[in-house]
Amino acid sequence: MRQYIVRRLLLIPVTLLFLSIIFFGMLRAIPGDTVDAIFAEDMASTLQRARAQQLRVELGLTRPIYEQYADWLWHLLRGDLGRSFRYQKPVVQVLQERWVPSFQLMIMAGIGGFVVGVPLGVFSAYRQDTRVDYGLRVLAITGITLPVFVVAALLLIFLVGFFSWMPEVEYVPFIEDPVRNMKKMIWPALVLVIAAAAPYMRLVRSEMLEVIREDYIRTARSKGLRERIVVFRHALRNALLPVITITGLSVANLISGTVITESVFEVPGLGRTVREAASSRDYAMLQSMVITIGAAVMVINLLTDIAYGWIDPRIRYS
Amino acid sequence: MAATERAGELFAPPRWHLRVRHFGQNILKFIQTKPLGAMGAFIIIFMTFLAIFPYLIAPYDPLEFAGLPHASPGSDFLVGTDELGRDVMSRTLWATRNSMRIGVVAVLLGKTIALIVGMMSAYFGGPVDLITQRIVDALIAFPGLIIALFWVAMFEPGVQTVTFAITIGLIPGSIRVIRSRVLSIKETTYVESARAIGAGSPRILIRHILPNVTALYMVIISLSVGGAILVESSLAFLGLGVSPENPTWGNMVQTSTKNLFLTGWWLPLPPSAGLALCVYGFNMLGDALRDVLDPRLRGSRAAGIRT
Repeated sequence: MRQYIVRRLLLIPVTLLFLSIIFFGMLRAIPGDTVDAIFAEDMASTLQRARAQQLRVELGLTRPIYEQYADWLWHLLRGDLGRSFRYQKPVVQVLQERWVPSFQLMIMAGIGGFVVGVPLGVFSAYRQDTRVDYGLRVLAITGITLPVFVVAALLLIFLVGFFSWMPEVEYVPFIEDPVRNMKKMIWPALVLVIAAAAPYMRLVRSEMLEVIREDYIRTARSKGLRERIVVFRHALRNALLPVITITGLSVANLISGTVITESVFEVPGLGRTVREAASSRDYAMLQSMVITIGAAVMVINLLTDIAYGWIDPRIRYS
Repeated sequence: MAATERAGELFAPPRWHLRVRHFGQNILKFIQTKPLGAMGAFIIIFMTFLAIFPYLIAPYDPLEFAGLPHASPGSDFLVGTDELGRDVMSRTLWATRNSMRIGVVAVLLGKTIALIVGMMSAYFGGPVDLITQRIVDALIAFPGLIIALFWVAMFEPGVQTVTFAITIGLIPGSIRVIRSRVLSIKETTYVESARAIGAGSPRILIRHILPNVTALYMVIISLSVGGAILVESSLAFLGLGVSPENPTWGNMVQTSTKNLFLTGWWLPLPPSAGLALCVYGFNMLGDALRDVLDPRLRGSRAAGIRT
């Protein structure tokens, strides 16, 4: 097990290196660069073109691509991710300023999705083929089918149209003022909880239905255990095993979900940064985001696999 | 024996009516055993019809300024007009064409690339496999929407860019699934015996391995279209999809939520409904096809919807 973890940990930097090479190569292989994006349509006059060329030299964009890559990698290893054009700040500073709200949002959504999804799934399975079950199944399918931005739009309609709600303009960190922070963050979190809970509901339901027919459940019942203990101690514990495997998938969905919800509800987090960097071709920012997101997802996947092996001793990694 | 059978087949009168009846029976069986899947198929057929012939149903041109801006729903405009006075109903119907075209083309392209690369990677092994798998490792970490965002940031906006952006995100996961399936097919006795009688690699790949992954390929395709359309509309919603005057469900929801404080609350509803219906149809059909054609895929990560 320890060997497996070490090998996976060693693989992460290798994969990140591949990722950065792919991304870097693609960025430079295509026509148009950051300077084009900065000057946009103003390239007509000779003066502007000269200025653009000067900027390119300053940024080192005229050098050969392998030199640029080596340079970038060297700076990355020393913790310098370059300077963002969109924000006119070092990328590291932008990341430092903006990771907190995204992190808060993902924790709220992840925990919320689990806490809402799992009990509803258990309940749905327990009342299989009743009206409650059908209702919950329709709800789960709706949650999976509706994209995050539609849920966000519907929530906005609901809030604005029926309660004449106005969005909280300013983002305040949780530590400074929890109430005002929650006033802003509760809505994007709610949208993400709906998106995160639906897959849990479906999976827990189908797993529970399988487990509840096992022999050991009959044994537990026949020795006179209370129903609540049979369901939660004996059935749910076994049904939850496969649920852990979709956590990785759920994190991937949460990341794209934060991009959308942060844009809709104007949360100054990393998700919104990705969108803004993409629409203004802020390459330094995009490169750093590729590495950041890649590393985060890989670490979470590793943790998921370790947790799986730890919870279910039958699974052996080699 | 085999030769005479084949000759008999060649010279026998064509029995098309039997084949048609057989096909009909299969469809009836599908409807009976998988009613939800059949409903999904019905929705998709309807949507495809809309995508090809939107002008037959849409009352106005989607780009025409048909009335006053923000007209209320009524007899002239079924669900009102948008901020430029264009008919929202017509735009929703026309959006089917854009969204479905991008989604379907991206999925066909991406999954075919994944099929070819996955087969090659598993069959030839060695350094080819190693490098492919490292690239897959690198890309699989990313949600489709994020890959698409990065791609769109790099190229000129337009239908082609958006299609490719979605395609890239669809490839890595399926390479994994197809590769692992081909790895097990590669070890079967029929591949071994084909090699023993001297069949070359192309022949084994095309005649012996490909037919055995076709069902998997079809299932993957039908399961992915819904997700691809979701990514397309999410991109459009973020303002990075096809140009805004071209109606897609995503950019319609975006413009109407932006104006939510000024105008009718119902405006985001028609495009949302169209999108939800389309995604629902594809997911239901995909689930049913998976159960029928390739039940082993059930519950695998690759089968899930990724946005």
